[in-house]
Amino acid sequence: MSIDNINSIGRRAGSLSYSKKYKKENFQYRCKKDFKKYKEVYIMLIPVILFYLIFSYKPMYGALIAFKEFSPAKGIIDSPWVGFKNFIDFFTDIYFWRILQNTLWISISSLVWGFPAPIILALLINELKNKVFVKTVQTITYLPYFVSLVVICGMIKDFVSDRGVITTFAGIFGFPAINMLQESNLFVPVYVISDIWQGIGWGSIIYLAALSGISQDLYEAATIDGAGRWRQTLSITIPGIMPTIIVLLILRMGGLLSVGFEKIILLYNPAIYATSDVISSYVYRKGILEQSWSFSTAVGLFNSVINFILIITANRLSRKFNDRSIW
Amino acid sequence: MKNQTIGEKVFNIFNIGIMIILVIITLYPFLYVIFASLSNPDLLIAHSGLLFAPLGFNLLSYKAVLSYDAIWRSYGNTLFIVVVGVALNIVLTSFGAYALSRRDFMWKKHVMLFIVFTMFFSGGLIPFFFTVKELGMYNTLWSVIIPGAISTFNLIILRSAFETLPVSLEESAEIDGAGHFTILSRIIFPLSLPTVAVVALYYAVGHWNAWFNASIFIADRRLFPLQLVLREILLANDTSSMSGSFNADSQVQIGETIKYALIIVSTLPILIAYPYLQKYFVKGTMIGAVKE
Amino acid sequence: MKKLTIRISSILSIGILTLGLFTGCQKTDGGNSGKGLGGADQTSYPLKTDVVLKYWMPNSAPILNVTEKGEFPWYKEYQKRTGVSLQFVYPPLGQEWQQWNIMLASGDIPDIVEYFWYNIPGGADKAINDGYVAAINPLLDKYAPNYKKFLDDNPQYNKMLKTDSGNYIGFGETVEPGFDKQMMAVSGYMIRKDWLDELGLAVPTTIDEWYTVLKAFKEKKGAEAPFCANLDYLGKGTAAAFGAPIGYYQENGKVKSGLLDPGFKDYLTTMAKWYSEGLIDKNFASNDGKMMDYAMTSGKSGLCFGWLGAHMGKYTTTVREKDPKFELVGLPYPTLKKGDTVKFAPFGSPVSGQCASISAKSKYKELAARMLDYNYTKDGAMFNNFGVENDDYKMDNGYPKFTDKILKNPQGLTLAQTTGFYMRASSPHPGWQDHRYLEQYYPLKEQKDALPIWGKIDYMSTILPTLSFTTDESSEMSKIGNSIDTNHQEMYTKFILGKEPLSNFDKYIEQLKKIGIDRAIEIQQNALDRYNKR
Repeated sequence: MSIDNINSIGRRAGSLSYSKKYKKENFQYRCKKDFKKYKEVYIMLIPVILFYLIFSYKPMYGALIAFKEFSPAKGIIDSPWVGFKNFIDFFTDIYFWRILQNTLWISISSLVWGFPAPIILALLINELKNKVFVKTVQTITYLPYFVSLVVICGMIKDFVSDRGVITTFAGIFGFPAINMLQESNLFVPVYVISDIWQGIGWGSIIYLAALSGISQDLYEAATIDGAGRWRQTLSITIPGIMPTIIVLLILRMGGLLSVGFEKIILLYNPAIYATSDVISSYVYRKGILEQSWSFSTAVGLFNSVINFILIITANRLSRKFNDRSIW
Repeated sequence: MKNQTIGEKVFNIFNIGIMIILVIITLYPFLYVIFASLSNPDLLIAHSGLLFAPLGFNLLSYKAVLSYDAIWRSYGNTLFIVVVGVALNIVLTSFGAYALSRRDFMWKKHVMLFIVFTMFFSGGLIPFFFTVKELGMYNTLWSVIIPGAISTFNLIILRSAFETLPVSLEESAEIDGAGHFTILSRIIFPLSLPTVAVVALYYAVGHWNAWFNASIFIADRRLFPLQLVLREILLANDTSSMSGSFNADSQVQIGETIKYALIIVSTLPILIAYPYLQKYFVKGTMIGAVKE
Repeated sequence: MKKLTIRISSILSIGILTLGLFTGCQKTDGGNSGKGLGGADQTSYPLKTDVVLKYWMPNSAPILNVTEKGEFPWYKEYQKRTGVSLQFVYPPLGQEWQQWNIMLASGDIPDIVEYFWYNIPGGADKAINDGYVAAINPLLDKYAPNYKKFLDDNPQYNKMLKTDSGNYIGFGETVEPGFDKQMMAVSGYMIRKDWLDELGLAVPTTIDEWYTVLKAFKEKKGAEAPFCANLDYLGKGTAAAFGAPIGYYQENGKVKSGLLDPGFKDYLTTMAKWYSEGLIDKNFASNDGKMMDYAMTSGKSGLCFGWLGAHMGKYTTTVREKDPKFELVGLPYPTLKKGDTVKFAPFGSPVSGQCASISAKSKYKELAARMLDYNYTKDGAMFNNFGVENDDYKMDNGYPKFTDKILKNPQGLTLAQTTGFYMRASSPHPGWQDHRYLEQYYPLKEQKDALPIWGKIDYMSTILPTLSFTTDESSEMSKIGNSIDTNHQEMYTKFILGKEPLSNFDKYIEQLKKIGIDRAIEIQQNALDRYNKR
């Protein structure tokens, strides 16, 4: 007897309380049925849910620090309540709009240029014929990811200084011999391009894994049908990794406001604060002066709320257009 | 050998060309680090720009780094953390990914939201510290392994991979009387091997690079993981943050070169391990696995 | 929550069982059997006690080669001499602040904690009022007579070591009284003497002379960027010549900001001119340590700011191997008119913001005080600065000279390491840093000479002491402070780079006022008034 039948009986019976009763029993019925079908799944979920309860939800009351004037000896509960003061301090800061703007701009630029790059690399690697060459490329391109950020930034600063390799190279095309990291409008390109340089290889790994999961039969069938490589890429390869792309894209949207401060701090300087000072770097400098948790917790909370809204929106859009959703 | 159109031939050459350039520019930073680590620190200071070979070959920096007992012990600690950690990670993450990829599991959406919410909202360091301490994990390696047992990001990736497998497989297995644990281990898991390998790699690298939890929860230096030890060495030799008149205004540092030797020492194992995992990402691993 | 805990234990039981394998014998709780100081009034060291004190200490010495338990030879000897066993707790390098916060939050504060108590938001009084540490005033007479004497003998330091309410928060860390000027002057500008000699130029003392010398370096020695600097170093001692030091200072008891002085515009104009003529490193805004090291050792620059050891010493030893004529000498801070005294110094305070405090909840306050008081005895001071007699140093006509074990260590340890292991003088410690230690730490003649050159400043009248702010003041200051710094640094850099015309200078001042620089001055004035009343 299917659930639909039961519901329709209830409807035909006509009275409100009658269908309500069935709805309640319906729910209990569904629970029992679900449990029967997925009993082991419930068991599987026990450690998982416990994990999140203990390590994520239990400590969550710490977010209250954002609304308090935290003093470690008093503890979180007893520290004085200041309401939205920390947030107001943040929003009314003379640089608030600038750092917000810079954060978003750097994030979006990273997204537009940096997100597709590993995908394209994966696709190109996929087209290589020589197995040895493929292995070499795969093994080398991810290396910069493992070189520490401090060293990478040291290299970047050297390359774009007034006598650096890249500056000199750009000089061939008429570019003046100036330090690129002292020009506001060059910061974002330097930042994004060096991100790609460091991360393209590592980022392509997940797409290569997705590509390896596409059945070769599909390609063979397509070749028989006379489809060329480009056609095959469009109709088989890309749709084949689309689920991966979309999931990663949605997750990325959830990190839009979180431009990490480490790289910014290693590269920026006051001459280019106008485009390089982001939320995290500004708060970091403030943290050195103030040494308090409350403010940075409040900013963190603000970031989280915005990021959360972004990911919900991205997910909703994805559900609408692609019928794929994270939840 | 199929016939290639002119277009395809041009593309191939173009592709190979791009790859070669890419290989060169991505290889360079690492080569630089190797050369610098083998250089004479005095010569390195007076040099700027590209490095094509070590300047005045010497092994001083490696000697300094490797003679430090703590490095070897911390290597052991980190290995333990990685092996046990990744095992725990894969088991728990698979459980979660499997559960959340079951098509008509009625709590799917709720659990997902429950989990994703934690990606954004957290309580910060101090309550986290108390939680871990209350569980008795303070000053043990477990304080590094267990709180990192599941990464939501990796969970979502794995779940997507599980979801893309055809339903027919599971249905036929169910008819054959297989329970969920069996389906997970015998069917889903093997068929998602590439993604599982990637997730394992992400977890492994994450554990390998981690130092923060250890710096908060572990007081006994003998339990320090590799990256924490290295970080301390780096900071102790760092002259760029001079402040105040008292601090150890160090006359002669072991040199810049030690920074580079540290990078090599700490990343070499991962680099050696990676090619073994690579075979899972090769095209055509899944030939004939799924017959629709 | 209880049910959850049961579930937790059952699921993690396997894990926790295995804990035993890896924790080994970690459980130490000091092993104190509640014995106090044991009656007799002990004033001689080593003290006789079985108590083990817990000591929280940030570890700033170079730690390579340290033993597994983090025991430096110094610590073993210290425990022997004082007679008190210590259990040290070191936060990992770089994580001191987080660890300190966690330690306070957990309520488990070790008996002795060395930290920047004077610099915490709310000031040292807050630490006392919130109940973290105990004011040691009641302990001074009986248990810390040596420290008390030190305070009585040095009224200026005394004032700096007291809080606004008159509390002594702990055992302070200072330079040797009477030698403060040269001891704090371990950093300053330095210049290529060999180039000066070659060009027949005297060491420049005024801004105009600097200009001449820099121009000569560029034109005649081919130095591409004669003045090597980063943002901080550029103005550290030069703006002061115009009467407008970068930062806050005091004049006749009034707090002022150099940024608002009329001389500041002149300073910026001069620097912008120098930059446009290529006398200042074109990359100065983006320069980091490595780039500056390169500039000075490759001949790209001839003048820079730096520290005696990390820069003067390092560069000299590095380059001398190839170019034996290389010589860096200390450059006196410039003035506008020849013969003027320099009145502002980029120094910190002779009294460190760090001190060894005793936990408010400690059961052994008297013992801790007694032990720390050792650092102020003659014996203790000699030990902290020079180590063990006849092992680490030998007395030579009343002057403690380091032995080869320290200076030319047979195991290959550097000077920085030996001084970090066998004694404490190389980093702030309760007690004072002896000037003779500093003299020997710098072996080169140029280094020793630089100390008095850089120390020739009448700074005591203008420098602001470490001020204590109330919690409200603290939070207001930090709110304004960060914005002021951001604005100021950004505009200052752009003016010099030539990206911002100097005609906009007045707008920049207006902006500073809008952000609240006057309020910042006001707050500091209040704090200074309170300080002066101490």
